[in-house]
Amino acid sequence: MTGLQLLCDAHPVLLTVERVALLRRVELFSRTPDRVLAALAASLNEVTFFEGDVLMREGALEDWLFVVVEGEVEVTRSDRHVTLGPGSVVGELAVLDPQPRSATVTALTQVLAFRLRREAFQQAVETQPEISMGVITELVRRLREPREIPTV
Amino acid sequence: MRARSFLLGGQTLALGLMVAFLVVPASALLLHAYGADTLPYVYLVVAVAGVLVSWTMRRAQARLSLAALAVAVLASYAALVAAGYLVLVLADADWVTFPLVVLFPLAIPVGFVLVGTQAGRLLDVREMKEHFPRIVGGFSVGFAVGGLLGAALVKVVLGVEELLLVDLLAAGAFIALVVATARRYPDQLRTRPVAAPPTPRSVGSTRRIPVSTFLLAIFAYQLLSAGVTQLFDYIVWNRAAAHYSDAGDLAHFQGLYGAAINIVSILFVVLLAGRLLRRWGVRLGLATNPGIAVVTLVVGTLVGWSAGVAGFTFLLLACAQQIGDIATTDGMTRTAMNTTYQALPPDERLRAQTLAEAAGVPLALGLVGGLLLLFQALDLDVLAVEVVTLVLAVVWLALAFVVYGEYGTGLRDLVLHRAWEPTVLQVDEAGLDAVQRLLDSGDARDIEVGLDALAASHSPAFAAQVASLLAEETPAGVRASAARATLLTDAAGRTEVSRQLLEDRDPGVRATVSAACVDEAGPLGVRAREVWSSLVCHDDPDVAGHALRAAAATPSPYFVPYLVEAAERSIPEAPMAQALTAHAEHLGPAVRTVLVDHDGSRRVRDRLVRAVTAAPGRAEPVAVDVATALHDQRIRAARAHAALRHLDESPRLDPLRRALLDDLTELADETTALLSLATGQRGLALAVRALHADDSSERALAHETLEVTVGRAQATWVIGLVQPDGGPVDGEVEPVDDWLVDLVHDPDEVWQEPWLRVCALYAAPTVAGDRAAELARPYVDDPDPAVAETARWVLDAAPA
Repeated sequence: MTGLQLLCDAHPVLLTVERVALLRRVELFSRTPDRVLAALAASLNEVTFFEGDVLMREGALEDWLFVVVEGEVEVTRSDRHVTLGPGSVVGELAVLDPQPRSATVTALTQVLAFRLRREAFQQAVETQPEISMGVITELVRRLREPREIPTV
Repeated sequence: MRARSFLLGGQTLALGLMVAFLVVPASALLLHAYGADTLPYVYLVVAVAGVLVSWTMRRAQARLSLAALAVAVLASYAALVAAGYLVLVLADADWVTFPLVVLFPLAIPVGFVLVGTQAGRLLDVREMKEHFPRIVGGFSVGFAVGGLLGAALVKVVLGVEELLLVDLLAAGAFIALVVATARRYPDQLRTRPVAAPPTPRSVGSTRRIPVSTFLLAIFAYQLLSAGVTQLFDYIVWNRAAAHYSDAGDLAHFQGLYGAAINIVSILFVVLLAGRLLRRWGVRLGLATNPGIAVVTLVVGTLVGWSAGVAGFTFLLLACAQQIGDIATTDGMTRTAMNTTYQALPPDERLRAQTLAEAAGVPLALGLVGGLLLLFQALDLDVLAVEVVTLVLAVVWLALAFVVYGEYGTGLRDLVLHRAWEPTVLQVDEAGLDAVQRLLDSGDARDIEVGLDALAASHSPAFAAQVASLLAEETPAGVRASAARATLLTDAAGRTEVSRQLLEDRDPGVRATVSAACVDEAGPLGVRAREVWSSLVCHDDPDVAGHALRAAAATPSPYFVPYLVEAAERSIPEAPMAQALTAHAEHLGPAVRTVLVDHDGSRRVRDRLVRAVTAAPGRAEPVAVDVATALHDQRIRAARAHAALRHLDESPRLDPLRRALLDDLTELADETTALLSLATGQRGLALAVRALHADDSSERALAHETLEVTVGRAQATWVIGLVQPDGGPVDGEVEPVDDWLVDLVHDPDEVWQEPWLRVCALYAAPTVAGDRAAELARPYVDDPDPAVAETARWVLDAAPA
């Protein structure tokens, strides 16, 4: 049993400290100190999806991202399919630059995810330089490795 | 390291042999032929020849690699000795011993320049302090062995002149070792210097060394070091010649004394010098030699004054003075000086060292020669020489501290120097088209760059451009840039334009103009301060952001209290950081309040620390003692490391482990900020970052910079504090009885961080078992929701 599963199984509703522990595993936030992420963790919604549920659909206009905490999702675009697991972020483009979704994301298993709205994310980026740096670093990494992880 | 020490130590050994086999035959033959009265003239010729040698070497350095230069110098030396030998043997010309004796005091500093500059390229600053004394020790060994061997060879096998042939062998060995070293380290020693691009100053002239206080202090230190050493030498031989009238007795004394000097020197170098330098650093290295000289000269002067200079006691004291001087010169001064040169930019080191040593030492000998001739003319005895030497030694000691201070400044300049300094964009006629395209782009940032460039160009089109950009229909951001540009250039109409723009509808324009006018006298300044302060205190973060950006563009001490107050609020980070960084020079008291007096929120603390550590340059240090200022940080770091040692790999302990590591990282930033504050060196963050550089010489330089900046006594724990992954900071901090209780209840108010309490509570059931509920109970209604939530979780999880 992984630490992640242990945390998620133990509590139907996660403590702030547990949410932070999960957020820290996300590349986007891995450089951000926990105490800074604690403020962000308070604005997260925990959402559960069952196998086959659609987390987001291509073309939809939405302003949130999902952090996959547990389970696997499939990202489908016209040119490729990618399976992502715990610690992945999907829909981050919508909170950085609101445009229609560029891919469809479907739950392959039961999925526990955090939903983070654009407003909370933007406030965090504007007021917490550590989060801004994490976002910049992750986007640069994706620019360097454009075919590894599709952005949604 | 072993190979480098071996090769460089071999070179100094060969140098010692070389000069011993030169001085023994040359001085014996000269004194036999012309007597001791010729020595002051030797010193004077050495001065002229030394300056010529230094000048020639500096010119050669511009064209030759270091290895080629060393081989050329040593081959020239060998050629001169060989020619002297031939003239001496074939023409029986005693006069040739005069230039050979002149060669002796030139060969030592030139030889050490060659070895020292190689060491400067092969060893970093810390390796230099540790290993160079032993490398220098090779010289003493070579000199002692050469002296004893020379005396033995003369008696048993060879004539005095033939010792010069052995000298040629020693010079050949030196050359062979230089070649071997260069073959092993070609990148450092065989690379030819790159020609500097021509500059208005350098065109038509040889490359000049920028004359700085540092260089002047080094030169003066070197001059006095050589001068005092030579005066010691004179005092000993003056007294020995007076005491031993028989030539055989004098030779016996000379042999024993020469051996004593070198044995003490070797013992000091091997047993003490390296340890002293490692423990006490360059400051002691520079001060020991003059310090010992002052002490022994005071004793010598008092004894000479009371008991006279004719007795054996004074001769013994004169010998002790010289032995102390030679031992500390070899063990401390040479190493400290070689280390000191590391504070110069790499391309200036060799030239500066050549100037200071190859020219400074002969010049000192010349001055001593002149002084002794003057004393002879005035009929002054050796006690007068002793007193003058004491005065020079006191000045030399004072210079040691000046050189050390300048060394610290030089190191910081070297480490904290930014590769690129922003400068005003200059636009010529050809660039105006590009500027026009920027102004026409519609993007506020492009227009701002264009306006800045246009203002610098003094273009006649500028006023019309700006006026059109200030029109009502222009986008808000652009109007603010246009307003700033107007104030930058329209000196005549500035007051009237400013009055109008202070009432503009656009807060960006009002902020720009008011910020630029807050220091104005009269009604304009009063109104500007009213407008700017109302903008920065505005509830809308965007409006406050305009005021902050404007303050960053035109800094003034007036803004500082408002900026510190604004740092408390939820304002976008970018303009806040710009404004604080632009005012870092004035943030000292505020940083002291939040970090030392702990008066201020976390947000203010973080923002001020970031601003102070990001700002480059120097500032007046705030009166704060490093040890006192960092007292709390030191305790916090020690307790954090102690707590980390108790945490195993359990997932429930992960948050606490990370929180403690994050805290250590923040402590490192706080420490850097406080150091910047205490030392007035705001760019110290660069030195801290360089502690993790890939290049070991860069790391060593950063380490040395911090050590020189905060002092050796505090450097160990301070460097531990600025390196969060560097392990425990200090064993002297008193441990707490129960680390978990300390983290949860924080009775000493060391942590003052709710998040650490959250993580400690979360770890409590794993670490403290049944005791966890007792720890958590006081916090179930804590105002911090994360603390309260975690405390309730602990109680829920506890057994009934």
